[in-house]
Amino acid sequence: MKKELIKLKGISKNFAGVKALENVDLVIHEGETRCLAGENGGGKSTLIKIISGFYTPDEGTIEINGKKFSKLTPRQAINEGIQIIYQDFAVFPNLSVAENIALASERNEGKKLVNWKSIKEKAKKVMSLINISIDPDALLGELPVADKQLVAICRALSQDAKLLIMDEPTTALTKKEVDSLFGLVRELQARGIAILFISHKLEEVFEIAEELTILRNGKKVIEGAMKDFDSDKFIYYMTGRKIEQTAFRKPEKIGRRLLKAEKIGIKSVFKDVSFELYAGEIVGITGLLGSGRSELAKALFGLERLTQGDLYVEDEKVKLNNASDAIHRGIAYVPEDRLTEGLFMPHSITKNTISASLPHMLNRAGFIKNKYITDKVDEWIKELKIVTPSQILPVQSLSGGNQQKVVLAKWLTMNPKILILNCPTVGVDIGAKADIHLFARQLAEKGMGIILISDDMPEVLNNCNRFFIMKKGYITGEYDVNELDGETL
Amino acid sequence: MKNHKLKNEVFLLMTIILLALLIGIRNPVFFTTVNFVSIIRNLIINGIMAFAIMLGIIIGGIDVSFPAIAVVSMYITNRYAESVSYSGSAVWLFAMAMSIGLLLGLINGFLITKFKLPAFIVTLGTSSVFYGLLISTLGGKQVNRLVAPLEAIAKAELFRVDSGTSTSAMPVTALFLIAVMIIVYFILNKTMLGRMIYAIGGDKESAKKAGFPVWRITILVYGFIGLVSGLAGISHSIQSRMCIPTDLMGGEMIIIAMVVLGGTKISGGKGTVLGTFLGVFLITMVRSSLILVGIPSVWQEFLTGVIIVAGTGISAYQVLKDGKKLPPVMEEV
Amino acid sequence: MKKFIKDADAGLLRLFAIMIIAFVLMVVLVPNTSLFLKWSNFQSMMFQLPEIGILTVAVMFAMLLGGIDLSVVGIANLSGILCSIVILNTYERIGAVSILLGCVTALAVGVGCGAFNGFIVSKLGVPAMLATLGTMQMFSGIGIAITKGAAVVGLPDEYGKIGSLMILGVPLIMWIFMIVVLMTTIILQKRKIGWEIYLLGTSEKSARFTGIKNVKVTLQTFMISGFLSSIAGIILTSRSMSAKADYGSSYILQCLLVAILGGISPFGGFGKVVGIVISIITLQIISSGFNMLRFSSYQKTFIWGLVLIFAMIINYYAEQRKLKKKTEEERN
Repeated sequence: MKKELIKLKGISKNFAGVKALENVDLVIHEGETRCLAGENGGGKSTLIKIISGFYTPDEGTIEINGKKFSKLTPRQAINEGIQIIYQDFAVFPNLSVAENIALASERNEGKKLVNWKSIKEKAKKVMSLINISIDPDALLGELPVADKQLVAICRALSQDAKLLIMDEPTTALTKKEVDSLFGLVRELQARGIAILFISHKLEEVFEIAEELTILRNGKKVIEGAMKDFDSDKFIYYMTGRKIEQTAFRKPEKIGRRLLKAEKIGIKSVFKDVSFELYAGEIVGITGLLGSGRSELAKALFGLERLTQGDLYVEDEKVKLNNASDAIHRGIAYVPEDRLTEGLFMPHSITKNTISASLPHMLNRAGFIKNKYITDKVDEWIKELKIVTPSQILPVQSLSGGNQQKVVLAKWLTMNPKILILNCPTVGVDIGAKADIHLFARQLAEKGMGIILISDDMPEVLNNCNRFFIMKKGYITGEYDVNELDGETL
Repeated sequence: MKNHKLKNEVFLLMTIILLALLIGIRNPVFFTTVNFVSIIRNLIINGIMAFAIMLGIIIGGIDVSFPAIAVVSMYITNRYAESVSYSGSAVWLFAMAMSIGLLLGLINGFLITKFKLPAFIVTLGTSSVFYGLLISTLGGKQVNRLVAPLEAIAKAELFRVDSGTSTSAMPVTALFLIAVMIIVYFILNKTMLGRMIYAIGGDKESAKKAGFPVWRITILVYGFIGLVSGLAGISHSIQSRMCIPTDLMGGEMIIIAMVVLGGTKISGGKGTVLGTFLGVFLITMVRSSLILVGIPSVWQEFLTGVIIVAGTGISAYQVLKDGKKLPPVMEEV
Repeated sequence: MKKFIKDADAGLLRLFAIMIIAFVLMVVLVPNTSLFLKWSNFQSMMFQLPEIGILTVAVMFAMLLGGIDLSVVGIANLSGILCSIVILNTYERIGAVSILLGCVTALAVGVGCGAFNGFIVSKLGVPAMLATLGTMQMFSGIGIAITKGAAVVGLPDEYGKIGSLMILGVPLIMWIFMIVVLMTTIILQKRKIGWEIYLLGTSEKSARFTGIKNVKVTLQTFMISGFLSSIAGIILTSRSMSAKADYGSSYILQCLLVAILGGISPFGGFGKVVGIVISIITLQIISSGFNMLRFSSYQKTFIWGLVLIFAMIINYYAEQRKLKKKTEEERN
């Protein structure tokens, strides 16, 4: 019988009227690998912040290593061997790698003065433990995302972690980096470190975890050994409904040519990209992180300037110098990072929804039509089923899935002819993902031309009728989905 | 990281050298030791205050009440000393000024942490409160003669330089500046506290998650600002041989500018002692040298403004350009 | 639904309550109540209020973008100086028209300085507080250089009329202030650029991705700010019948006080002019009462600092209570 490391009983937590957690029990044993799964807004992040001491629960008890804690602080949690790798890693971009790794543990030893040699050595030691080597003097803010994560993991290990909690660790990683990470996780498992792995991604959960706990709407809905679950059961408990994985789409009819790119490029980033987009299509652009696909997307929206080639919108040559030009031409862009690129968090749903369509919200004298705006936003709330008591509430009060809906509403308000979706379902749970895909297909059917950029092959295969692969700045292949027969790429 | 550490300082140093050359060519008097000593003299008090607020800016808060704290500390101490015809050791007077400063700084720290208010606005308020209360209760009467112990320090010289036509003495207060610089350097680079200050300035939430005592450190930093401001205050009265309560007030912006010009980012998390010193030196040098170059002193403010705008503009523009650069994807052909 | 509207403007209601309290307090404290309540007292308040009021509206524009404009007083003074110089040099030839010319010069200077600010902030990427710290020195520096530190005097009487004229029992400058408030409200609530300012003030990145022309909006905002500062400058010089480079050096503090008290968020994106109106009336009431109580300016400074701090503490507790209430509602 393995020892109980953490025992949470009856945990509840409210945030300004929203029930984030309701009566949740959780036990983690020494050395076990458990997955905590659930849709966005389901309470996972809140729960681990309570385990880490960052939040205090409104109700419930916390017992760690047999000790009861009435008001757990991050310090205490760390002392008990609990280490968290947050989604944003919670590292310090202005400090060096060595400091990020070793500062906390040096401090835990009670040291008041900084011993640079000791810090550097500690950092190197921990890094060699997991077979990585990053320049200890490098400034953390300049490292690529995967390296930042490794530094965060090293920091956790240098403090004698007994339980390592990882919150959605694979969100910003490429496939190769994910494999690397999982290898690391297995090594840690071998060392007897307990791992709590938060995720909503099917494949990962099945690959890594031994035990599974699923939260939905703040409540624990099911728990058990991984081997007792299959894909359908998992999805069912996560979302509360059955979701069909539909096969690829074939467009009913293809309309006029909306976009034509003729050998467009940005110096040193991508070159000789040519393709066409017709109304009713969903064209995919896929490739690894860093293949130039993101920059291509931005260039099509005017956020980056082309240095070569021509772009035609509805057969008219255009020069897009900024997003405003693109919007004027009927192009909409749903960005990768909705929080910092797509929404104005403290502002109301109203303001956010019409933010891209301001020129259309004015009467002939140039004054804003307040009533018209309010009505239009109400329409969108109804159509997209956005959950909110009022449209004047700030979007930061909405759940993640609803926020993504506001982003969609914002772009649909301007009646785009061309819609560019840049990794629209990253960090989005299965239920909302299916909703977004369905909605995209409906839009295409209505005559919109959609460009879907994603590194998620199944997503591309299921939703596009054509797609391109980009590699290191070039298009290396164009494929018609109908012509593919279980081809592996 | 070492490259980044020095880039800003090197740029500043080159600017200083360039300007020094230009000024010196116009008027070789600039290159005399007398002039150099006089520049240092002029920057001591501002320098002490710059190093005081530097920690605050690194931790992410802009304290604008430090001149008021300096004045309150200086004035109360001097008025008290005058009223009792104090003749004991000057050390106690310093202790008094610095304790007053510490207390006021801690009040700032308390308000900022307890009510989670932005430092700029809180200290805007406390600046008025401290100064207004001081003058309302004690009146604004100048102290025209320092008490003996302070006068002795004022008269003392570390060394004196002569150039035949003029002479200049290095005041004892220069030692205070050096001491403050050493202490700040030590804190920032050699103590856990200092690194945590950088960490908090870099990402406050992450610091909390890492278990750092963020609020405790914040209060400490503002207390420190008050403490050193108190030192600046009493040092100012020593250097000016008088205690005028309207001095120093209104000087907060120029000192913040000195710190920022020195490479301390206003958003927090970055800053070096060398950089701050160079920032203080650059602005003081230019302001002191205008007369030598024949630019009427009426242009002093304008030129100070130009330096601030040019300095911050150039470094900000560089950051902007770097940010826009796309990472090269394609391999070199 | 109505409840939420009430919540959103709770801050303004609170402010309004503070204003009433301040008024009552003054009535109670001032020994000669009838003196306080005399219409002439209110008239004199209306003469003093517009300077800081208009400057605060200028500061507000920059604050909405998320920055602080420290140069408004510098622009005001420089505008006043150049206006006066133009008048002094052309009065003999064209008489009263020179005043018009002077005012146009002042406004042009204001817009120009504002454009300079806007350029540095939007094109060079310098944070507004820092940029305007430098430009403030530059603007007042030019003023000092031109006037050699002395005051520009000898302005014709007609010019003084601007600051002293009354229309329907209300000072002209108060009318100007009210027009400024009205125009600002219209711009911010009913014009495209107003909404763009509010959006840009919360996220520069999102604004760019949403098709808002950040550079243009920033430039225009600072130009408006400069324009308003120069109006304040004209009023200032008209009322004192002289122009000096360092008038109102304490004004910027007061403006920030009024703005923050009035609910303009220092982080950007939020705040309404009506808040400024209420807060400046409040401060003017208190100021006037203090004058009657023979408070020294230092005592006033002290109290204003306290008011600012207490206002923010009250806001803090109000937010806490709002959160607690919502949590309890959920529980029940």
